[in-house]
Amino acid sequence: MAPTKISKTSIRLLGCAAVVSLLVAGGAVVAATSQAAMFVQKAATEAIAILSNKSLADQDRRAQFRAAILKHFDAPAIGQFVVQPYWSRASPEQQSRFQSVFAGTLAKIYTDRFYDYDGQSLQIKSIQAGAPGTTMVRSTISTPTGRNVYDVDWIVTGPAGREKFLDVVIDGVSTSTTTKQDYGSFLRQANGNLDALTAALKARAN
Amino acid sequence: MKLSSTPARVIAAVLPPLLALSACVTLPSDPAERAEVELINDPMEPMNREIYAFNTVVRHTLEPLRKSTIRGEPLAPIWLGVSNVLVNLREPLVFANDLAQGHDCAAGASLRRFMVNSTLGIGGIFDVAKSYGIDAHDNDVGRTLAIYGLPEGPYLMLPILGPADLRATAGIAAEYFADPVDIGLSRAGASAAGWSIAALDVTERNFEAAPDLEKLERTSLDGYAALRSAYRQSQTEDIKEDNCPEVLQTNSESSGARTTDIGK
Repeated sequence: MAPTKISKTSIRLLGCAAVVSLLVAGGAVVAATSQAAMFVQKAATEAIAILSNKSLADQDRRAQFRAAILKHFDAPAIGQFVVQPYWSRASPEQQSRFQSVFAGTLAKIYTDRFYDYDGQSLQIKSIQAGAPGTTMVRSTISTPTGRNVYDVDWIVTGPAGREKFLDVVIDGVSTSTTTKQDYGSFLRQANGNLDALTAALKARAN
Repeated sequence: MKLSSTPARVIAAVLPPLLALSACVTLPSDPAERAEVELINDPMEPMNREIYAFNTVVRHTLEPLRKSTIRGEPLAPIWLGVSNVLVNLREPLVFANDLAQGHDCAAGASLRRFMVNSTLGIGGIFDVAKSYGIDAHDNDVGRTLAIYGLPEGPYLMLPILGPADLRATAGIAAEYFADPVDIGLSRAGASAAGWSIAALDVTERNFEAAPDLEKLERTSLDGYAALRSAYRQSQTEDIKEDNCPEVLQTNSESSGARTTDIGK
């Protein structure tokens, strides 16, 4: 499964971080990839705390979960990816309007994806380099009975201490790629008009 | 969404007239869009969308029945038994395809499952093999054709059966002639039983896929396009799987993996 592409800005930043990592010591590359695993563990722990807080109403729990999604996911980079090639043809104002709506949509997508994973176990299996500047943390999530086991790959980017998720691949299906092809179909029918997509996402959210 | 081997008869009856009536997609003039559409390879998109709409109506209609079979509901234990029997009846075909693909370990797993569940599991009602760490896995002629290098061909949406491509559909047609269970039932003069199993099999696969399809619909603008994307990606991933259970692997990895329990 090919990891998700990322923006040119992220590539430059991560390129510098990667060079510094390599210069420090032979073990630095391993340390950098282990940081990604620690980030996944930390995010999972935070998700646990929210999902298991039964003292909160469901609505409030969902709101906290969405806030955690927005904190840990690189919404601007994902937003730019999912509307290519139309992004580069849109004006800065259109791009800004889209990004402000897309952040909420992204949070909803992942909240829907993971909210009913309550009671399940995440086990990190391996870590490997992904596309330039990204790390793929491979894991499984299994139900308490063990009846269902999902392979979940977390695509992590960003310097140590400021990692973000770029994509989550569940049983080989990339959330970012699926969203890109979903929006691509819509935009082709809308003559590439990014404002039309923004309006549709806004109407969906309401 | 996996496809059953047995309803090949349904496809053979329905596909030719549908193909005759199909409208083809027009390629966009913009080069980037054109490249994307060619990559998606869905020339019969208008017809496929009609079938998707039909399948969605069927799924929504059966939703109350599906909900009565989930854990905690009255029909759940019965449905679990039925589902286990259906999975067990698929094992001979899974075994044959595992062998054809050179996945000896997976073939061994399928054979063990079939033998253990057919006997200790009382005709497959109980999934005893799972308690030994040998979970069920899926395999089909479509995947075998993929491993032998046949390209997937255009995307198709099949009535009731759901997403497919030309290669997978050819696989279903091949299974019509090669499914050991179907052959056995025909020779025993029990073709009607074959149709009943086929209907239950399709229902079971649709019930299994329904929650994911519902989530996909909720989180996408164009459910059809999202499903097409998810199907293509999962097919690519499935072809890479060797489906060898850990308990049967000769050199187990010491994972040292950390486990985090979500929501406990």
